[in-house]
Amino acid sequence: MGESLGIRRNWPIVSLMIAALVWMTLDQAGFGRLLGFLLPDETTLLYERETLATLMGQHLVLAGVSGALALVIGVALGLMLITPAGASFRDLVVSIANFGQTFPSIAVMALLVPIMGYGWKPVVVALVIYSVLPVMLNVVAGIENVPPAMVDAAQGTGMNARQRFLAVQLPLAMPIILGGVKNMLVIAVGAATLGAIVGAGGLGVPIMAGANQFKPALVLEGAIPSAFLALIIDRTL
Amino acid sequence: MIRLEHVTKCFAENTAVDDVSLEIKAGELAILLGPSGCGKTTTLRSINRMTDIDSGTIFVDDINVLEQQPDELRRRIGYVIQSIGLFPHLTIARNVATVPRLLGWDAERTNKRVNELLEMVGLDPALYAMKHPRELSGGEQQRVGVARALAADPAVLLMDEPFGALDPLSRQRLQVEFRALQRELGTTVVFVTHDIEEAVLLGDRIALMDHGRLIQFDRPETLWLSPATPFVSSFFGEEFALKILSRHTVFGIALERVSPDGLAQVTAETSLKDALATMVSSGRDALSVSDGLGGSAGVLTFSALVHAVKE
Repeated sequence: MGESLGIRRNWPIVSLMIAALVWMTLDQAGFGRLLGFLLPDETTLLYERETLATLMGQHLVLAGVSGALALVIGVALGLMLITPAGASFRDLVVSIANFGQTFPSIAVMALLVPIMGYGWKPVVVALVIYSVLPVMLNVVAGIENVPPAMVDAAQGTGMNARQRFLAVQLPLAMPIILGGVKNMLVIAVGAATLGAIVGAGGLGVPIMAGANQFKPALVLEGAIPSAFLALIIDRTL
Repeated sequence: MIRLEHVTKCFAENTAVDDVSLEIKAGELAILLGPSGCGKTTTLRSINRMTDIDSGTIFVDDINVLEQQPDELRRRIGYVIQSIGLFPHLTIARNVATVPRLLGWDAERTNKRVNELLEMVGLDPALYAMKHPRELSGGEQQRVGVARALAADPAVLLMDEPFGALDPLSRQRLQVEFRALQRELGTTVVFVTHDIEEAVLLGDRIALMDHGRLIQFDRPETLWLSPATPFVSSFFGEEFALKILSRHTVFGIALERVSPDGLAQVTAETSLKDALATMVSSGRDALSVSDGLGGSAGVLTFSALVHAVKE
């Protein structure tokens, strides 16, 4: 589908990045040597209390669960907003979603911890609140971007509203919708590092430890895989 | 075949179609012509209920369209608009197969029909079926548009400025080919255009509209010789006579048996417009008409040409 719409992906580079990410996650000693090469003066190169594989797993679960929820909620809200009945709520819903995106995630987590306790739950809620907007807006923009003449032609051939939506509007809106999903996932992967603050684990843990103890190698141990993860999503979708 | 009775449609304050009644015969190519905003497109779209009318009735094949389920009605009526109407994400074959798929035809019957239609509009299925619309020229895209509209063999075809976006050369070719195809299939066509030349070339009859009202619905020759109102003559202008000439050929006009020596030669299939142009450029008031065997069948004089058209 992507190919037919003229999007070219550089698969060799993506494969290389995936290979690099797998290597740093699994060959901890090797990754430690690389960090030692980058920062020759450092003695502590790796976070000792958790393996990178465990942290990566936690990170993927945090970003994946939030991303999936944001996708479902964002698409549902977007579809609701393009119906004639939903159009009147558009300003309200968009304002709320805008507010959700401007309100700092870290503050959302801090507010939720007393209610939900430490762990992954407040992180997922905060990430979902933060990620719904791009998905929802791109669903609306994608559908509305379909030329009216195209919908008219579809109607003229005798397609009913459901057939027009599934066979014409949705496929033509897909590149824009996927663009929104991609942005959302890239954001979610980066923002999931905040989970470390409320004890949800993830790649933010070595970053925070490194920042607190002035050990830059630990910051890189969390930041490099996180950046690779974001790049891979950006180049794959 | 298609009968409109007192059809009226208003948009807000504005009366788009004002008490229009007309009857289009089976197999006829009827043109809806007029300045922009005259209500021609609204009239066309009311036939397949893309626009719902405020009052009046519309019959297709003696069936009241207002009593039909709109989607089912539209599957039985072909509809062609400017080239943007093809679905860009689907192949040419899938575009043409739109209505057969909606009607639930099986794959074999659909494929067979798609190939048949592509050949009918002059596109080689082997070359075009798997392409996407953006790989085709404007003229080719519009051929596909016509093929798609004809897919379920509709008795009625509605066309809204179908050739309007094409360059003059492709437009002319498509007009001529479409006219021949329409005659062959016997499809009843309602064709909207604002191009007088196109209307006169294609139309069996032309419905001239202005400000939502039907002014006159007649053969072009009648519109020319007996205009119902001064608007009719002023709309078609002085050149109307020349455009009428393009509808007729030399064939059938009585030729004079005089010497064709020194006269420019045309064939029996030459349009009268081209024949007149040949007279003008050769500086003579007569032409030799070839007999198709290398000789001359006789001489066409200027006065014979003028009289033939007036009749």
